[in-house]
Amino acid sequence: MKIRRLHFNDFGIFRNQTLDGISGSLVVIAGPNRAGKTTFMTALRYLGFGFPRKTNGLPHFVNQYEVDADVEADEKKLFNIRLQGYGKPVLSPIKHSEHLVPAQLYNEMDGFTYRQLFTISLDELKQVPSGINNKEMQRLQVIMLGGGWGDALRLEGIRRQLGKEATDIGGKNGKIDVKLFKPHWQRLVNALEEKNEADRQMDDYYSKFEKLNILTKQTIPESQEELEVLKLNQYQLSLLREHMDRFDQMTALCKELLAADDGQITSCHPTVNKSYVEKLQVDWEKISREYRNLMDQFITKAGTQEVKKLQALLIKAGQDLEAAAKKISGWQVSLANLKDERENYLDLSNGLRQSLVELNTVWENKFDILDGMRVDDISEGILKEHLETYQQLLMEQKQIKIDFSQLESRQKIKEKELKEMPQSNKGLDKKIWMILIGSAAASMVAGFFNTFTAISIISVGIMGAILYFMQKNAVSADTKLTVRAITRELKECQEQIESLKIRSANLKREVESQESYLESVRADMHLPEDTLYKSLMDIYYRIKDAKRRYRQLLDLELRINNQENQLRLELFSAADGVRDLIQEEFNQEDVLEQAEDIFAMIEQLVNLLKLARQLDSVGEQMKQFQSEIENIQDANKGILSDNEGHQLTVLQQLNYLQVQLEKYSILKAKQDKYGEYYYGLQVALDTAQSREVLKAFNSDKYDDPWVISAFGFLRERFSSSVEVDMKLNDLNQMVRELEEKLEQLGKEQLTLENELSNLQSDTKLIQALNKIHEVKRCLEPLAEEYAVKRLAELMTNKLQQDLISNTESSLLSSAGNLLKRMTKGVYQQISTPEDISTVDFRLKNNQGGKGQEIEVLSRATKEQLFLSIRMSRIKEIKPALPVIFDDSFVNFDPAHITETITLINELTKTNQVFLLTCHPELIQMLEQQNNEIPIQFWGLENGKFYGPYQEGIKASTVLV
Amino acid sequence: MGRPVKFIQAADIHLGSPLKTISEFSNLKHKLETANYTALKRLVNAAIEQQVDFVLFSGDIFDQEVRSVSANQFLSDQMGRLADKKIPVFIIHGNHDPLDQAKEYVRLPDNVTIFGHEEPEMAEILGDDGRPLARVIGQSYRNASESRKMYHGFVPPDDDVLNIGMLHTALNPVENKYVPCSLEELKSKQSIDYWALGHVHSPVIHHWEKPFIAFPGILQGRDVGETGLGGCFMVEAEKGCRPAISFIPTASIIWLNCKVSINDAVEIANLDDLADFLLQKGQELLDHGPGLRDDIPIADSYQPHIDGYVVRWEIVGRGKIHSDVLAGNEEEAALAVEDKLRQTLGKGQPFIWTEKVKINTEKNIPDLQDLLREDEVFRALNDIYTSMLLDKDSKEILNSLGNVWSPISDHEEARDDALKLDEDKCVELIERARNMVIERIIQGREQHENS
Repeated sequence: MKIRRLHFNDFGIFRNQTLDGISGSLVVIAGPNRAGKTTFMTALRYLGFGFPRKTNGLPHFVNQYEVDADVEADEKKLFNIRLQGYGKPVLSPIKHSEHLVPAQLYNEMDGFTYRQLFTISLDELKQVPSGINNKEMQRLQVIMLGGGWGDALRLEGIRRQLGKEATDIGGKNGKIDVKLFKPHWQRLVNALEEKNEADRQMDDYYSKFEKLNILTKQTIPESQEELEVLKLNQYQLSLLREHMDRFDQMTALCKELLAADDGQITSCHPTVNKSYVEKLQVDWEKISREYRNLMDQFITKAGTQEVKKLQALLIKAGQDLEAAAKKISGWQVSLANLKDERENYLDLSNGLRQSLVELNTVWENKFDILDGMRVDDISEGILKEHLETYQQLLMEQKQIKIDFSQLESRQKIKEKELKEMPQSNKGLDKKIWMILIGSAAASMVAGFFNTFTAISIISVGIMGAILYFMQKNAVSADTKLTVRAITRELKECQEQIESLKIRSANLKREVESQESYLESVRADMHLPEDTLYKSLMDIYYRIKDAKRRYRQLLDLELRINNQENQLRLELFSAADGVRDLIQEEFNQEDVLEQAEDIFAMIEQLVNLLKLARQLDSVGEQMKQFQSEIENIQDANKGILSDNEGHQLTVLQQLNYLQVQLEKYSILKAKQDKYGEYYYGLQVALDTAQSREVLKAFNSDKYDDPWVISAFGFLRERFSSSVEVDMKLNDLNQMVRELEEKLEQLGKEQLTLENELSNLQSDTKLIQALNKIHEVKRCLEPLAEEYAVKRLAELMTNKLQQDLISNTESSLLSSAGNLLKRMTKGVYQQISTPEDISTVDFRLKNNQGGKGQEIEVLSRATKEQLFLSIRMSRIKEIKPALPVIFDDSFVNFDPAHITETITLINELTKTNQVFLLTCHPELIQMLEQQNNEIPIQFWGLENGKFYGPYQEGIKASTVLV
Repeated sequence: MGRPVKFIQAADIHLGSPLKTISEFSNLKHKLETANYTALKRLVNAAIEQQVDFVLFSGDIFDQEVRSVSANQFLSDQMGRLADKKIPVFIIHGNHDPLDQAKEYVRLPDNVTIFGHEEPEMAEILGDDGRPLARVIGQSYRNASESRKMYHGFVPPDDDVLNIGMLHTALNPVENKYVPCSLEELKSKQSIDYWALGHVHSPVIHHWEKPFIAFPGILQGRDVGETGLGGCFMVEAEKGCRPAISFIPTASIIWLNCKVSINDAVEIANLDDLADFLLQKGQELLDHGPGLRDDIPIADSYQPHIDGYVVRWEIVGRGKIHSDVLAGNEEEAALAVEDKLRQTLGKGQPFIWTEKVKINTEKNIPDLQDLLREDEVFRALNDIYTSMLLDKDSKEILNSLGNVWSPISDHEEARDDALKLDEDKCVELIERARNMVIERIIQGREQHENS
């Protein structure tokens, strides 16, 4: 690629400057210092890449950077590159349609590399990257910078810096317990220890869990089993010890009973005991005494020795006597009531008699007249209603009489008025007719003479008739109206009179009807005929009251009679019932008068009856006693001798019975004691626990229940209770010890369970895990930073080695040839170290040997070396790009400059070369050189270009 | 031929192992602490609701690194629930709960069958008529490392019923610690109809045809390495037929590793902008819901019931904010953003709990890709980077990373006293290192050109 035209519209010192027709080979820009050479070079450096914002070396602008260039690519195709401001370069084809991007023009090379390689300034050799010591810098500087590998020099610094930063974080090896990692490490150690502690807690848990398992499933059950056996033995001996004495006593009693009794008496079952017989004896004596006392009282009260007969009669009549006695008080009350009733009857009959006299004096003592009065058939309401109706009818009759009289008077007046009124004149009508006829006649007469007159006469006649008629009617109208009114009133009077007559007739019939009813009432009440109707109501009430009292009187009389008859009958019956006992008779009619005597007699008999009955009762009891004793003797023959009982009195029999019962009870008590022992022992031993401990001694040897016989066997094993006690004490001691042991094991179990409960919590574990996680979470960014920096350090190192290696392998050979030509054979070759990492480059001269170390070369030689390497590198890059030399030969001697120019000339065969200089000598040397390709010169002064020139002298004028 | 069998395939419960994050909000704290228990409870609920014939646990039910009595008791209780419903359970032990230490774990009810470690053991599931419906063959780990090729011994007596093999394996033929075997080797065992595998923590079905080969994954993710929806498989299988598989989500908490780039977010100028940017991403996350797998359908009646997400945010990319705010203050800035995210997203329903904010932004380098392509130095650097990626297990690189890192080849290997370095992390670190070198070189060049 070659630049054919350049235009600076706004770039640093340049304003609207154009370089047209730029040579494609060597272009020399001559200009003094501050003329704009560096600005020009800068424009070329960034032309294909755009101006960066942050680069300090860029020149100023007025509005914005504005540079454009026409460049020639392969096949002579032209493109325009335009730069505006900080924008990307815009590439446009010129006179063809091929579109490229700027990078394609520059062989996809980045701007930095282009600037690094194709802008050759010896100032580069003065720039030392930071972080490199001087010796190393000197060794590398020329070679690497010459190769365009400035990065390689900086990489060393970067590598060291990264290493230092990484070391600051995690030391040399990134161990977790150093430097910045250390605080995290300490936290992690603590958290891990907590987790281990939690793990140990878990170990502890399972250890204790197993221990608890052994305890609960082995140790404790075994001890409990042992304790069970011991307790069984303990209970066995306790049982023996508890019942041993009783068992021995029972055995002794058994022997005694067998010896003392043949078994006859004890085999009996007396129906009575001794105390009962004693009680019988006392009762017998008591009842005998009571019988005798009663007999004495009866004889005294009855006054006869015929006790049995009287006793029998009394008992026979006992119920009647007692019934009569119970009624006495009732009879006495009835007698008193009867007396009161009689007095009431007398008062009531007197009052009634007085009422009858008041109604009618002839009715005194005629109570039966009331029976004929049928007042009960007469309704009080109806009577009252009839009386009121009757009174009203009488009053209406009276009123009708008055009205009738008035109407007759009025009728007479009206008739008189009517007679006095003038009669009507019916002859007046004839006058009208006469007028009319007269008029007609006159008209007819007149008609013979004059028609008109006739008509007039007739007309006058008609008119006169009409007038007359009208006047006559007006005079009689008032009279006619008056007549008509009187006539109407008269008619009304007549009608009313007729009506009153009809009503009067009706009233008369109604009055008669009422009177007929009232008359019948009066007859029903047997009243005299002069009794006024208006007093009927009052009489009605008084008769009704008299009838009520009369009925009361009759009822009272009937009741008194009934009571007297009833009482008389009862008293007589009572007296008659005891006739055999008192040998006296009573008259029924007189019993009411003898009532008190009868009552006294009955009470005396009743007292006697009580005694008779007591005697009878006590006698009966004595018989029962004797019978019971006989029964007892019969029932207890087993303990009585056969011939003794029947010859004895009752008392003697009872005494004998007592003696025998005493003997029985003594023997029986012993037998019972034995039984008590026996069954007590049986009950005591008949428990589950006792059976359990005795079952080892079970045998069919005896008839006894097996527990008793087993107990007997157990008893036989010990000679005495002392021996049992000793053995029992030993067992008690063993049980106590085992129980204490079990209690201890129980506590141990409880402790283990509590400990397990505490240990099973995973809170500590979770906390520890959370802490570990948190520590790692915090540590991770730091560890990443360390790792990234160490890896970056490693990469940097590798990159540096690669770059050096590339330089060595690809450049130094060809660069050596260039250097040989540049130094006219003084230096033959650039030698490379075997170990590239030592960066020990040397120059071998024509003297042979190991060669010179680079840092000891002269400045000019170093520059030549730099230039040869750079040019060698540039030559390798295809397609060729413009190269810029910025006064690069200042330190060269003329011979070397000439040789260098030759090399540049060679370079121009492939690359467009811009050579910027402020040295006229160099221009002169360039012109003097036998150039195969013509050189183009431009002058530059104060931002203005002059040229192009074929002769360098013209351009040099700006340098003068 | 019997009826089809219905069962649940699960593995890697790691009961007792808590989620590796904590929250200062008490309600979240409880949910995070009990998530693993919730997951197992959901599994048991599903087994009971679906009246399955049996349940399979293919290893790592426990985690011997996190031995917890309450976890053991919880497992016993849950197995007891299955016992009440007469649902048999078959268990093999894995590398995290090898059988030589199993004695201390827990006493399980009688419905649970634990296969031994000496040799493969077999159990039959009988139908109502007393004839076998299916046969389960399994073998436990003896120690935490198990190099035996166990599958060789999985030989059922006949091929008449459904034969199920339970194996805890990394399915890696060259890895000697976790029952080495390859997918092809398992496929070659034609006498087995169904391989119920465990060890891999995400659900994956390797082979649909006979023999069916699948990992159900973990029930509940515990750290940011176990992202996605955890659960188990509900299986209906019949001899000679392809099994019907559905996924029952059991996880109540979902872990997510959200890498958020600020490359295109030019508006982010300060930490508030950055926090708002992440809040917006969080909202998008909630709107989108838990990502579900396409290849394994979720059981109809068991749609995910998510209490919340635990998210690790990683902010990457290049932007102005890197140089202006973040560079040199990454840790402090991360804490500030973390706090804001927790306060804002941590209280919602479902919640998003920010486990961590990592700031890995880089200096804004224009045309980085161009540089890598055009610049010889960067090209060389990129070549070095590529070779380092290929050689990332080399001693040279591992030494450079530092002893603080513990390289692991399996997801479960890690030293307690070091950070887990898996392949992804290693790649990430190498890439960040390359970018750092680029930044430094560019910085050097700028200084050079400006001097």
